[in-house]
Amino acid sequence: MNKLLTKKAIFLSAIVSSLLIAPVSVSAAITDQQMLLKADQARGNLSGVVWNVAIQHEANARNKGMTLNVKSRGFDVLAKYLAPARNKGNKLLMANGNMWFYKPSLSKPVPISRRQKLLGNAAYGDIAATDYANSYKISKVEDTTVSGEACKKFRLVSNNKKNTYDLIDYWVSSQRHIAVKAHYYTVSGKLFKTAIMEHNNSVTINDVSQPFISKIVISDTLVSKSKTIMKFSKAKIRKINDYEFNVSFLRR
Amino acid sequence: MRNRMVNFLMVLSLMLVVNISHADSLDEQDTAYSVPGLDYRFNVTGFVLGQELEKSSPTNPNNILDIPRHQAELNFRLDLNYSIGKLDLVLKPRYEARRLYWKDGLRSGQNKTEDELFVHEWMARVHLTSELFASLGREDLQWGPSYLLSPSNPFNQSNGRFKPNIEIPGMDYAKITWVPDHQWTASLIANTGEGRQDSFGSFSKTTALKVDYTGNGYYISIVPSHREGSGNQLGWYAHWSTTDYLSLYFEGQHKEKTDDTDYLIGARYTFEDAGTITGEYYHQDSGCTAVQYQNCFIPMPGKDAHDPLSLVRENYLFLQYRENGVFEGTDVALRWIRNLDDKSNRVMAYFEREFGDNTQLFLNAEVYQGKQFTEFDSVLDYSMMIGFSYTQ
Repeated sequence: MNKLLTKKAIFLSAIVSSLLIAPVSVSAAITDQQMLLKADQARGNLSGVVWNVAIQHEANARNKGMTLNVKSRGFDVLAKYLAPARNKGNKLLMANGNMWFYKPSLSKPVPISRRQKLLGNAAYGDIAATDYANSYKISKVEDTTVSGEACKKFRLVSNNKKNTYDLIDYWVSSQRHIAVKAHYYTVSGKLFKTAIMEHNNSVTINDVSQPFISKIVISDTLVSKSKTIMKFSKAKIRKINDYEFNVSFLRR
Repeated sequence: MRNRMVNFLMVLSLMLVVNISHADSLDEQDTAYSVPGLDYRFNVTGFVLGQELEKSSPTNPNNILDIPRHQAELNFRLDLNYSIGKLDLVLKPRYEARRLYWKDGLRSGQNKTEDELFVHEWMARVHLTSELFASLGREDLQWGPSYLLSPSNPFNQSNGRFKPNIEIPGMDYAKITWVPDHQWTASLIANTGEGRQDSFGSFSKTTALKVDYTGNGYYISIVPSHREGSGNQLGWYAHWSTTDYLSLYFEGQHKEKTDDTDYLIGARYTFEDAGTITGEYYHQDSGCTAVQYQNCFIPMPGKDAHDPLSLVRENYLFLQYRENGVFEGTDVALRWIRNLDDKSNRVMAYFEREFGDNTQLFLNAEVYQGKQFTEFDSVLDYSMMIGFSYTQ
């Protein structure tokens, strides 16, 4: 009887222990691919989110800025220009990998490329959610640190021709599973621009709070030493209907 | 003129009084769009236009087209959007004042000042469900990936790219649009009136069914339509982003009555420093083959008359280079149309520069070149437009 109780106690304690250490084990066992996916989710890859993005470009002692209202669902994005006033009414739509730009002086939305310049060093594609987990192949992983934080440095190679960047070095926090830094390279392998990310915002999904992008600083390393800062407001989770990402509805 | 101006300013003042409060912080600013309500844009565009007419033109002898040599214009443009429940309302009143001066033809040496208060566009749209929408209104209905013109559009193929600061008049439409998911859209569109669009010839009602499919990096549309008195036609367009920097597209239409097919093939390449180059080839079966351009407008039995305001020959080449943010704040567009049949050319340079948060200055220069009796050398030699745009 005592042996039976002892066996039961050992069995129960094993279950309790396994439950207690489970979160740590899951965290430790996260694959590189899952880590990239979590980093993507902290950049907007969600079922419906609305935020504002303020973009400031600093170059040659001249500062320029703009503010966008962004609705995002998965990798679809609708951005409306809020400021400056001269850009009021301008809109940007990305749907199913297609991208259009509209402004009131145009009679119809025009197709554009994600690599086209938005402001300063920021391209139109930079306001969209990243899909590095699916659109890039991990060619190399290193353990390293960024500002004292343990990170994994991924070398990502584009696995399709529709990506804005061909090669990316991407630092993801080992504990927080969010991106902290990126280097973007040209086709010829030259360092094109760098980005530093902060995630001081949060969103609550299924009653679980998770970190969310709050700031990206993009520096141009190829042409000048200019800097473009993208600040993200608090994100609001919201249902967004299909028609809102429909180009036929972009004019109004 | 003064009464019209006063009326317009009263509408503007009323709109400003009921305007939602302005939010300063980044977190608050999205309320302007996320809460259903009033959204507005007020713009003043002013410009002066000078144009040199082609001397001894057989198409425009003694300036029978009544083209002024100089024109100064001030346009007040108010865009109001209001959403309440399942109803979206759009109203775009305009007030335009202009002064014209003629140096050629019967009005040589004369001046004229005129003004106009009108509704440029309006729309009432009801959300019947989250997927089904019904709307009625006046608008410039345009679609497709092409720059030169939109051959798939049975209502109006001109997209006004050569005078970007002048608005294209709208026509009257009734529409039912179904958006079942994020890939498919179907629209039943009836063009019920010519609105402010000055149609060439008499206006005929047209009905179209537009079916769109958006795939991963591509989209395609077909547009079967019927025009009273002209029969059926089928329009189509497709756009494919082969890479992030190269896209290809195709647009066209086939007219059942005349068995004519018009099509446009285009490609667009975006450079790494963000400039974009676009090339298009356009062919129309119904294009005019007369040796002298002015003979294209002589009525022919069994053929539709050519619209002198559109492209009338068979083959055209279009090239455009566009770059934004040149010299820290200047957008540049250079455009060239080559008539491949009579070898005439139309070249345009457009510059737009921002000044402060509200103002843009623009310059639009066009040169027309060709031998006598060719399309682009038939009316104008050159034109120059300088202006400003102030938006609040």
